[in-house]
Amino acid sequence: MSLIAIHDLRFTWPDGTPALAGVSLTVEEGRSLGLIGRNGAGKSTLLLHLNGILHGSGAVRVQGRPVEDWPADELRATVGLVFEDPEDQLFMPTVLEDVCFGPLNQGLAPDAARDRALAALASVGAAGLAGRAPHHLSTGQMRRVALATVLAMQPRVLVIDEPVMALDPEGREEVIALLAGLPQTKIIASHDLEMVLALCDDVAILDGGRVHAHGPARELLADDALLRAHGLRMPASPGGG
Amino acid sequence: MLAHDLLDIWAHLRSPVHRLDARVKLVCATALVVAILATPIARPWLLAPWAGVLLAIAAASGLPASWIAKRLAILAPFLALGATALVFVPPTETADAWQLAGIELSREAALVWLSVGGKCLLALLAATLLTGATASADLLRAAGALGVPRTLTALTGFAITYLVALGDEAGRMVTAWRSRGRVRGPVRNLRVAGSMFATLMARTVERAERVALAMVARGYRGRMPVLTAERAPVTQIAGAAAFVVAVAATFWLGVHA
Amino acid sequence: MSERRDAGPPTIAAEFAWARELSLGGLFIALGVVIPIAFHVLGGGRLGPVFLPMYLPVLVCGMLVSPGIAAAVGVLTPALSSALTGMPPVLPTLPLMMAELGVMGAIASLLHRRAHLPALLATPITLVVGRAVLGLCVLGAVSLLPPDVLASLPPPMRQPPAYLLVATVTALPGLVLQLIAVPAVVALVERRSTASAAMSDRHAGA
Ligand SMILES: Nc1ncnc2c1ncn2[C@@H]1O[C@H](COP(=O)(O)OP(=O)(O)OP(=O)(O)O)[C@@H](O)[C@H]1O
Ligand SMILES: [Mg+2]
Repeated sequence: MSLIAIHDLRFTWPDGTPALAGVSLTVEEGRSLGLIGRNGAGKSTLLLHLNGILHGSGAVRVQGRPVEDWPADELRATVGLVFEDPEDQLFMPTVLEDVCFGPLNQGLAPDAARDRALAALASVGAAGLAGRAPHHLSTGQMRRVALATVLAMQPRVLVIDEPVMALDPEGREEVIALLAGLPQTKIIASHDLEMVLALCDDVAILDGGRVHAHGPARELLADDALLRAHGLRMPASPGGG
Repeated sequence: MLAHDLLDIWAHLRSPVHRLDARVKLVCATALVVAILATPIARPWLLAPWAGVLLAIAAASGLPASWIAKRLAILAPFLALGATALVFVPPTETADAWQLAGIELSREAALVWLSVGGKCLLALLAATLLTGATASADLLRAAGALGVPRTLTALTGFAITYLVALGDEAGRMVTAWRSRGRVRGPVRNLRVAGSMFATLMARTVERAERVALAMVARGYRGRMPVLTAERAPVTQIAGAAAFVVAVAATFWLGVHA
Repeated sequence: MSERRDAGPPTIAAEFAWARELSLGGLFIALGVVIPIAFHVLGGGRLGPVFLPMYLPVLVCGMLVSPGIAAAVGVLTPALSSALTGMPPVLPTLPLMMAELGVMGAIASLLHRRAHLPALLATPITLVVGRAVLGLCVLGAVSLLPPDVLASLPPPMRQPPAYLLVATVTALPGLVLQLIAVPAVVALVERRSTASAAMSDRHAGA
């Protein structure tokens, strides 16, 4: 049984913009999937379906069970969603309170939530930021903290939208190393194909709300014609050159 | 860059005032402001003790005097306006008039002006010292611990968290508006400014919805969770109680003496 | 108020709606502090009482959230602004604005969100009610003052109708601005913000 199975998912935004036109995908436990495709391909919209925030027609199953049948809190504890813009994701007055938000909503006692939050912050190398105001942090620090807010909920699947956007080269490398070290199943939407190549076992190419290719990252990301057909370019190979 | 110096720029100082528990500071500041506002309007000299206390706190807080002065200076036009209005209040027959540079002023009107202006200045000084010497997050948690409804602290929390980001956004728009060169004519000018603020508000709604999505994705179920803070030290609680009693006693003595 | 504790699992649309009330309300309080500063920078200080820049975000927010939150936003915005920027001054303006904006927020929400009146109609009604509340508050405040203090106020302050007239005439450009800007912004926002609609019902295929 696949950890996540999507079958013929279709979704149109209420203003009439079609976003998903029949997406089918599976993700196995422990694997990581890179979701790539041009602007407006539907990547972010697809991610919002994975923990039940949006509902399209078709089926999204997590651990074999349709998302509609999951209790909302359990689903959100299983599938952790990290949004694109960390500024919108960090909304509490301090980093610690922000990272505690999820665990407290899960019903943890304040002390337990605090422990979880501090552990999550330590795991992203941001233990020193606990008392700071999120909006006074650098973009790289914000990204780490945003990741910690979701890690503190101990999800089995990490769903991350554009994890390295707007980071400087060093910050980008650090976040990639951080993500590579996390054991969870991962679904990562990004335009940074070098990162996708470094982090993901598989890749799915989305275009016009449809999956046009799904396979091993090394193969798809080496197929120049395929990538170009969907507005993408081959990443520099990891060995250099 | 419009709102960057409103909050938390001096929260890192380590003065005795900074080190006090936020709840203690909030209670003491509230007591002072209530006393300031309740002081009889016809007797502005009764404001003197509050001014003394606030100046002492300001000295102890280590906050730069120039920063405090800049905060208070915002009231200058308002006070000047009041002073101008004074000229237009004719002295009543019963009241003794004051002569000032050949102008006859109503003594009572001058006292009211002093009193209202003094109250505004002192209340603002109290707020400035409180927010200057306390991290905004601590202040919010303190308000929650003292029984302020959670909806209000949550709203204020979002406001404080996004104040800087929205100030930056508004600042960028103002800069863009200026660098494009002024449009001629007040009506067209207003139209440009109007559409600018309209865009700012529309973007803010979209941002608020992204924030709400992030809240729901992390399990928000209609109730803001709070981290309870540890208890304040007993000596500080006693100190706060003593301060409130002293303020009340001073107030009572002033009004009834 | 949006905080709920009732039993039964809420739908995700309901959870999102509550979260949106708080985030929207909070962000608009921040706008209510920031926009007057921007006006100050643009106009050099004189424009505040003329254009009432704080009313703009409070009214727009009122049309987008429930009455309780709208009232709270109306009360908190001038209070936070006064504490952080000194404007409006504590006396006499702050309490008057808290009352006026609190009521206006609630009325805007009741008219637009509950009675589904278009913003184009709801805005003028809200502005009129707001001025009436301001008048009542001035009347109340004046009746509380001892007579010797009252005699020493500048003439328009002694007579609430006169004060209201002066305040309203000064703010006429601002009231006209609200009349045009609020419905325009509300329409813009309601056209652009699709997230809440997307959550509230299911959408089928392309
Ligand atoms: N809130 C929204 N309301 C209406 N339409 C939307 C909304 N969000 C996205 N869309 C539309 O849905 C389609 C898919 O957008 P989506 O954001 O999922 O693409 P994406 O692949 O994430 O793009 P990008 O690479 O730019 O992030 C686009 O046509 C977009 O305009
Ligand atoms: Mg996207």
